[in-house]
Amino acid sequence: MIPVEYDLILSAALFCIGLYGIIVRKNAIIVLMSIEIILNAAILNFVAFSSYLADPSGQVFALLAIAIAAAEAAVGLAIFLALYQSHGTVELDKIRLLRW
Amino acid sequence: MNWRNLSVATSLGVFLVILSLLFIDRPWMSDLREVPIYDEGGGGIANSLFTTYSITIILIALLLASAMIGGVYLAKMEGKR
Repeated sequence: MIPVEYDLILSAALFCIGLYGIIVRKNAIIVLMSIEIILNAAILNFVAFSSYLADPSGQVFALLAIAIAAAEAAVGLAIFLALYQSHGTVELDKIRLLRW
Repeated sequence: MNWRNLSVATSLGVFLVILSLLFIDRPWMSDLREVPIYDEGGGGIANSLFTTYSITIILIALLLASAMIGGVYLAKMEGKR
């Protein structure tokens, strides 16, 4: 089997990639994708420690976190669609008002 | 790639290297083991999913339904502006 530190390093790499996307990119959809990458890093940590401890609770939480990520992506994309219809852009540095 | 992006990438790379060294340096007890999907003794994923976390499943279903309704509402509200 795979050593647990390989999974943890992959999870840390996914977290860093997602954090880079959130900090650097201005497109809202790419920022949402970066948030999803960070969520996937957390889910990978859940699964890795679940397998490491032979405890099924971590994998159950991974399934629930996947469902929450799906809901978050649906609502986020709908908000960005409404933002595009009102502002004409999804560039985050051009959208300065919370009230639209 | 401008100076700001380069500094962010460099700092995140250093952070990743430090994390990786911490993970490798730690003595882990064992390798990963396979958790069964279903177990007669109650140690499987499906056992926990439908016994211990059954209320959570219902709450997640409600969350997904409300997210679907809210997403459709947000996507269809262009006529109100």
